[in-house]
Amino acid sequence: MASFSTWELLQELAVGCVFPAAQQGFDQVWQLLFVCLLYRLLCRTGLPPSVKHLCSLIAGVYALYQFFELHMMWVVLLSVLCYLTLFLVCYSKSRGTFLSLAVLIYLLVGELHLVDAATWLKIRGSQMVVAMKAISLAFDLDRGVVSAFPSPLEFMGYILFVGTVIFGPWISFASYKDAMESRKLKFSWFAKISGSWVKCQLCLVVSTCIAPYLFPYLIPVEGGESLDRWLDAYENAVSFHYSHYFVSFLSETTTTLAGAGFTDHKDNVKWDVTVANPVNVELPRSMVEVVTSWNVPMSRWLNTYVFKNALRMGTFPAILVTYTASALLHGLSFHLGAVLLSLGFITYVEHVLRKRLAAIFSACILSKSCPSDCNHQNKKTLWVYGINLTFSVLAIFHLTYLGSLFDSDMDNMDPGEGFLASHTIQKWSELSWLSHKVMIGCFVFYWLI
Amino acid sequence: MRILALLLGVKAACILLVSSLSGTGAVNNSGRWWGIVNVASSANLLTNSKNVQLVLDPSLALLSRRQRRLIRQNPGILHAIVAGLHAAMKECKWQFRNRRWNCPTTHSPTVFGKIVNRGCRETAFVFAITSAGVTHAVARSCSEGAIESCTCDYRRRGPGGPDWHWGGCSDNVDFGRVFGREFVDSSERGRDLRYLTNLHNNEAGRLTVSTEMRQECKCHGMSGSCTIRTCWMRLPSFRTVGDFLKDRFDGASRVVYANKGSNRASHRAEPRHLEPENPTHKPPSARDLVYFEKSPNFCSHNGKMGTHGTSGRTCNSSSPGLDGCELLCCGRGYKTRMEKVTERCHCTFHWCCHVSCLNCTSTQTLHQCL
Repeated sequence: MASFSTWELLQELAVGCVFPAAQQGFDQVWQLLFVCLLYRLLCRTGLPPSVKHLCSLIAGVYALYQFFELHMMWVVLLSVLCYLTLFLVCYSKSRGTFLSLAVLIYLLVGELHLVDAATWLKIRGSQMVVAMKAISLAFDLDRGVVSAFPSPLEFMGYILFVGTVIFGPWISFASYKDAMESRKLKFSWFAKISGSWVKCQLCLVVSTCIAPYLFPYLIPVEGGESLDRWLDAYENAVSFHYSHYFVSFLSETTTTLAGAGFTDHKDNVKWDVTVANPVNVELPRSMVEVVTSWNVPMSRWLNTYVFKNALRMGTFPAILVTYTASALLHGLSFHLGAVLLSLGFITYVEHVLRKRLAAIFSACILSKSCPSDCNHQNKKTLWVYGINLTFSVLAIFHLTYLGSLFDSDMDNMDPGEGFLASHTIQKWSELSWLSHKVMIGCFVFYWLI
Repeated sequence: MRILALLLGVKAACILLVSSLSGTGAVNNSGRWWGIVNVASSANLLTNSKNVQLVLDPSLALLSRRQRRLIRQNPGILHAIVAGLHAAMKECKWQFRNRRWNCPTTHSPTVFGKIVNRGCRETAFVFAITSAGVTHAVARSCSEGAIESCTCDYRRRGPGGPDWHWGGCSDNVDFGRVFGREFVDSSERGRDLRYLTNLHNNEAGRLTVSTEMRQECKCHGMSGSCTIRTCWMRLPSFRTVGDFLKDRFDGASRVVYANKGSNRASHRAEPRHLEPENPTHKPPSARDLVYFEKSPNFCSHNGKMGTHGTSGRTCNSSSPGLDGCELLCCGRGYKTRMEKVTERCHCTFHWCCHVSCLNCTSTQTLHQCL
């Protein structure tokens, strides 16, 4: 029983965690990846579009069945319901609003009455993607971005597109059409897939094997009881973040593999779909940056279809509406609602405070980094960096606090409402509600200056 | 010559005396290591348990040389052992809170008192729960990275099911069991029935911890949904272990030395083992608790037996069970008095975020055994 050195620990990690993770991980997703690849190759052939839509639909249903077995019917039911609603109001001018209401009612009824909590938790991700796609299509029809009303086959092919149906992300109807037209199989395409796959595996390893070990094994920090509590919270937060990056990179892989997620630069195709931006989350400039980098397609969707529609109510109500929409899409769980609403307040306070400070000091200390041609006088002085660094540390602190909820108890307890609520309150009481207090402090400070 | 013979006789008597004393010494040795729970907490030894010097501290003299070596070889483990003992004592008190014997402990080095030198059911429970406590705490500390010589157990992997299953950081119960066997069992000496019984109960405690391990998972999916999962093995809560051992306490089997009265050759050929006293009962399984002596009734104070008696204990006048005044007071009767109790009540949650309470005073009826 000799002492473990770091080297031995790393060996143990490699043999015990990394390899089995990679191998068994691949065992489970290879079918999804294979179907994606098959669809991509099929799109390269000269089949008529309707056949391609049908193939997309079949591939999507097959993938859903692989992951959820018969529970997939809830997802299919939602997509059929969306099309019916869209069809019934196809001459209206506010199809988006009608469809949003229909989706909302379906999600509420499903969550509260029809489906048991464990199943719902499993299919929630897919439901979210379906809902987002349908709502975006409806608003695009309203705005005239999409001119022709889609046929059932087109609609279902888009909604259940195999590259995004399991792990997301949201893609627009236009990019689905582009994917169907298909671009050449080039090296850059392959490079993007391998890169995303490697990153996906790395994030999984960090989430399951390294994050629970961070303190005091890998980083020898030990302290009093309250410090330990915060370190523990940080471990939970990191583990949760990396689990999210894992899914994000996996979704990048499947999307690209199925042939979607590229932009045209003249005649040069760039495979550049980005779902999460880990560097901007782990070392953030501001909470606003965290929120946008967490899930880029989703924040784009929220911005385009919720925030802009709600903006006529004023900025702060629009922010609240956006976060509420996000919370509703994520499912009616107490802890997610609490986190998302807290995020809403935190980002708002941070935004207004930094805006005021930037105006007073005429410095580049906004939530978003200045464009190169901004008219602030102080751009690269030391104290500007200092203030930005302070806000970064504050953001990491907020993230730790919010992420502390997502510990292993969360995934193992019966996901009943009562448990989630008491768990949230208990966890945050342990950290003495510090983040909320700091937020209120910042707001009072903003209000005074 | 006669004097010499006398001297020899005296010497022989002395040797006999010494050996008989050391014999009782060996008996008292069992569970002697429990004393570190008081020593370590009073001497504030645990502030820096990774320091090797502390292990050589004379206040740890309660441990055998082998036990001290084990602590030295596994920096950080003293914390776990003491924490495990604390948990075991707490759990023992909780499980027996309503019984005549309510698991009394003292701050002297003999933590559980004289009961440990007997062979009754209560003795069996004390050995099993403390052994389980050490295994539990050590296994948990391994996965938390608090012991330098062990890590998470990455070999425990569930089968690949419809969701993903593979190893994360499992609690290292194998290390906990091996360490427990080396550390806890090494304080038992001898070859008699008591020795075998204590070892059996120690092992029963450890086995309970490892067989009650359960799977715990982490969800991965879009925004916290549970599309796929990673799983690992987690220790049961110590309450689960306590409940399980209490069940085994109620169904403990009385045992005797196997092959009693048979000739020496066959005795040597067969490994020493325990048999149920009643031959029609089936032999105790590895997780059963065993005892060889009837429990005293624990009713009255008895210095020799080390029982405190039940006088002064509060009892429940309406209960027909073990905590009822009839049984708990052994028929001696009880006195009733009223007591004013002040407790926090009408607590309200204020936004945001504190709870304020009022102090309510109520009178409660207390029954105490005579």
